[in-house]
Amino acid sequence: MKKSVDLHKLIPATLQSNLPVAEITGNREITIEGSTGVLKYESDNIKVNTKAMVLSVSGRNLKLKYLSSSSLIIGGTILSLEFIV
Amino acid sequence: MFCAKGRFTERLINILNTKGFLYWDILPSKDGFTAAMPIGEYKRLRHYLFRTGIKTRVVQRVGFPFARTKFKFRAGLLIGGVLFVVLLFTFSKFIWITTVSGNKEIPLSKITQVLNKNGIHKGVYAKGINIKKTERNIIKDLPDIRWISINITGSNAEVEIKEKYKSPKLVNKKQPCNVKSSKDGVIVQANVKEGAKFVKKGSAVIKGQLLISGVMEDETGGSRLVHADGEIFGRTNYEKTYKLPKSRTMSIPTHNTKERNQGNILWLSFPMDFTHIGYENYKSITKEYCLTVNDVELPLWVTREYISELKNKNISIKNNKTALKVYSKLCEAFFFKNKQIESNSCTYRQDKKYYYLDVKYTVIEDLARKSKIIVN
Repeated sequence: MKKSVDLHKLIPATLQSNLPVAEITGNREITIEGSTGVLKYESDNIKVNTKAMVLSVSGRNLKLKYLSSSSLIIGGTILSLEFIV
Repeated sequence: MFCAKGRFTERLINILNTKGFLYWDILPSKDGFTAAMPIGEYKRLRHYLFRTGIKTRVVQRVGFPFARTKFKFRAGLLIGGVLFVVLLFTFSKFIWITTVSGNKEIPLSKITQVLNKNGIHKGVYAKGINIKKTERNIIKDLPDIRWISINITGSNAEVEIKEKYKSPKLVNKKQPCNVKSSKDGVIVQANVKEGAKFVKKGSAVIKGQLLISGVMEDETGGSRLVHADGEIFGRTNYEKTYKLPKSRTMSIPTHNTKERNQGNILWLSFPMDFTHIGYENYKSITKEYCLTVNDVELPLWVTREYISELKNKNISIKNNKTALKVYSKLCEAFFFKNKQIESNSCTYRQDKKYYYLDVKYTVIEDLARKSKIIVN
């Protein structure tokens, strides 16, 4: 008898959905995976577009430390993180 | 480094990202952002700027391509810099300095001569030296050394040597011998180490006379043979005659001098001036002046030749007594090296060609001379 395997249980939940993954290190650095582009780039506000939503990072002296096609790292003094759905 | 200004400059950031541009240091600025990228990438970017309507301006140029244009009208400076690097790289392949250490008895000049003969000197290509073979050859040429090490560090050749220990002369104490007199004289002091003394202070001896006997009598009346040894100092006489010619022809330097320079770089030598000597008879002294930077000798040096004209002059000795005295003192230092001159008496005389000094010496010296006893 063949046993059917539920693939959904094998793949982690973070990879299954189109939701972005944000990793914050204190208030100095935030890594966002699942980004598709930058919508606004200013020293006090950076808006990042993802598949499901838009993330708005507010703070002081913000800058893009790393940018690739699917992830980015924002450095500076982060004051707030807003999810715009 | 360029700055981008316009509406929606974020669109340009997304284009840079998606089209695979190489860029770094992207920072937000008023009305846009600044970033840095290579020249080739910036030229490729122009095509996309037209579509986005964003204006860019180069704010800083960094790197060799831009530095090169600065020196476009100063090619000599650039050529000089390149030449310096090439020369430094080339010169570092050759030996500049040779240092020798560890020698005590062997003079440095002799070691340097042997090193030159075996290819260790200024200007030699360092990589072309077979060190082991050279070390073996040097030990053959200098038998007084027991070990040698040649280390070539950069442009320095460091030579370290260890000299052989000279073993003292062995005396065969088992060989019976007598001590006899080497000259006629009068005994002044007798120090006997082994054997029977046959003379005392004040005794007159002749050449070959027995001074210390190797045949010793024991208490039972028998005799035994020993290796006689001791120091027997006696007063002896010598007669020597010194002579100096009354006049002689000598080459005397005049006030006319010239200098001639030769430049040297490693193994190359070239004249720096073409001074014609023009003297019939001259003498020259050569000195080397090396260029040093922070106590490091560079492989560039100037050989200067000092040439002074000589003229033949007939010189007659006026103060013959002083000249003869000086000459006699010089000869005494060599002839009476291990002897002590007690007194001397001088007599001056002359003939047509020479001045003479006849000296009679009274000397105290060691008269002991060993003579083997042959036992059949």
